[in-house]
Amino acid sequence: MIKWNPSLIDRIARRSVVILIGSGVSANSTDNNGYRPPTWHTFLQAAKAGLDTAPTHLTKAINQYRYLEACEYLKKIYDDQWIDLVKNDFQRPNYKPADIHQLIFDLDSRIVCSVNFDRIYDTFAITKSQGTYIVKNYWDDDIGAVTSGPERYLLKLHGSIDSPDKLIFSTSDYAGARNKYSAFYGILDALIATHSFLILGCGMNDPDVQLLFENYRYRYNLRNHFMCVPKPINEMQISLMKETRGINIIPYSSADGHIELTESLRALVSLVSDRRNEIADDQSW
Amino acid sequence: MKSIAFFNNKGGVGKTTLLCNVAAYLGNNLNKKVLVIDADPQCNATQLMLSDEEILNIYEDRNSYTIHNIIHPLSLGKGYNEQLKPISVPSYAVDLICGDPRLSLKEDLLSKDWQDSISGSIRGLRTSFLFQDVLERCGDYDYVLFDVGPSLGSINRAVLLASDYFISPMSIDIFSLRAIENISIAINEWRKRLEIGISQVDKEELDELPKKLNFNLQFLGYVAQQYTQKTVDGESRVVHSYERIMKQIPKVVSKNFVEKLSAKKTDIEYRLGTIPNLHSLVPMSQTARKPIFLLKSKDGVRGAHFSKVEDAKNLFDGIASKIEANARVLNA
Repeated sequence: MIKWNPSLIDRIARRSVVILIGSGVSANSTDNNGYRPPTWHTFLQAAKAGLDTAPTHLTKAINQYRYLEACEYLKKIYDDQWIDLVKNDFQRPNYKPADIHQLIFDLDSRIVCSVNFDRIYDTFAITKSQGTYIVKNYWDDDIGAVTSGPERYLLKLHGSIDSPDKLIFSTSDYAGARNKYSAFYGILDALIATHSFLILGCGMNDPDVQLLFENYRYRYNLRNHFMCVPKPINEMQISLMKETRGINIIPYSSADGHIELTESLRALVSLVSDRRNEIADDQSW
Repeated sequence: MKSIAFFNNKGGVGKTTLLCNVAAYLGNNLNKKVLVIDADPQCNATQLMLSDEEILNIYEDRNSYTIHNIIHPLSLGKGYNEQLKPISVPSYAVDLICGDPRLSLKEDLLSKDWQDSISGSIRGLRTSFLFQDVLERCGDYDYVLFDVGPSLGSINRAVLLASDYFISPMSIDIFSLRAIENISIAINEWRKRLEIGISQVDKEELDELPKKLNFNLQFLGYVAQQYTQKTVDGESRVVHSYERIMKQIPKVVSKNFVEKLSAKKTDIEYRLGTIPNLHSLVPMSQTARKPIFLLKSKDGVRGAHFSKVEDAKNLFDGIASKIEANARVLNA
């Protein structure tokens, strides 16, 4: 079991934490045939397998975890077949939510960010909250609203499968979006500076985290963020992540389908609930 | 028709919250016809279910129908009031006979007439069985639920005399355990004395009384109120002192209620449920005048409280289902 940092518990209780969910969270879901949404690696491998011949530079990029670069290559090769490929993996199977989605909802962060294209958590949160959860994509104009008020938000950082032509799937996509929708990314940078992030379901090599936190460490010199990562993971990687991205790594066992993460989150929900009760009793919010 | 009193000798156990939400669940979700009779002079059930305006309209008019209308004619030496006039409470999907603080004034009447009852006085018995008469005119309902105050006084005695069952909401403290023993002793004493009183009445005089004269109250179950918890090794656990008391409850309940008050039945789950700390949902429910499990965003629900509202619905579903199941078994 994860021993949760008391400071993290307190910050979640006070809603000073943004939860960032990656493809590992979606991988808990299955469709009616037991098929799971792919992670970065499995998606890219499957896309490569769909080619008649895979270029050497593509194989090399995947093996060296240069996922965005690999996406760039695949997107060019697949051309107009690319959108169908993405839809087949992320939308059509009709994935069902898992326990981990309920636990994330119950942590009751005011803002959840998702780098997932699927709508698993979107649909779940909207249904559970009787339609009061607000979903924002990176291109939405009124993004400033997330900075205040009691509403709960889900920010889709890389878009949604509903708008496949706006998905951020490569370096050029990302650079283009950051330039065109600078207000959104300004707010995201502000959230990174003013909140702690709890990152779930992202791998160490996933480009999402690298892109988001690239500028963070040197500008603010804080180590305020937490990322749950499956073992094995070596000390050098932990050290590097802390120093270069300001992220504290929380290792957990990936055995039995990452059950330790789910059960640890269940405990976290309970600890946060206790802490919220204490804050209410003391009126120390 | 089944009649159930929600009764504990100790106050502050969440009795009214429990009763009103169970009643609403029976009415809204199980489509039962439910009458709530607020027999507590503090009028908590009335206050929880009706809006401020409704309450002002009723109580500013001295001619409004309340529980006082049921009992007042008896103190004037007349017979039973002929007509019940409950009001409909759509948000809880129940009918309600409103409480009345003046009910406290009738404690003396009930007490004196009880003394007369156990001496075989027909007038005394008529007063003591007033709620039995009420119930015999509630045949159209599936359930009649009584909210009563936390005492072993005359009013509650009259209610318990008439009820088929009682449910005991319980807080997890030593005083609730002691209260259980009190209840058991009192009920058995009442039953004994009443049998003596009835045996002294001439048979032709019995026509003035309700048909059912025996004191057949049965224990239907208890609902525990969860208190302080701490998360230990990933699990929410009750603080140690509460844990000690919680472990005693089934045994004390069994010894005092089941063995002494109820028919011998197996396969009854007497623990109907455990009410968690509902925190802001209870005042939200009070403000909105709605059952907890029907609260929505317009009532103030936000974020993960939607999960708690859903948990509350599951909770009251469990309690209502066990009530129905236990009543079926005890009635067989």
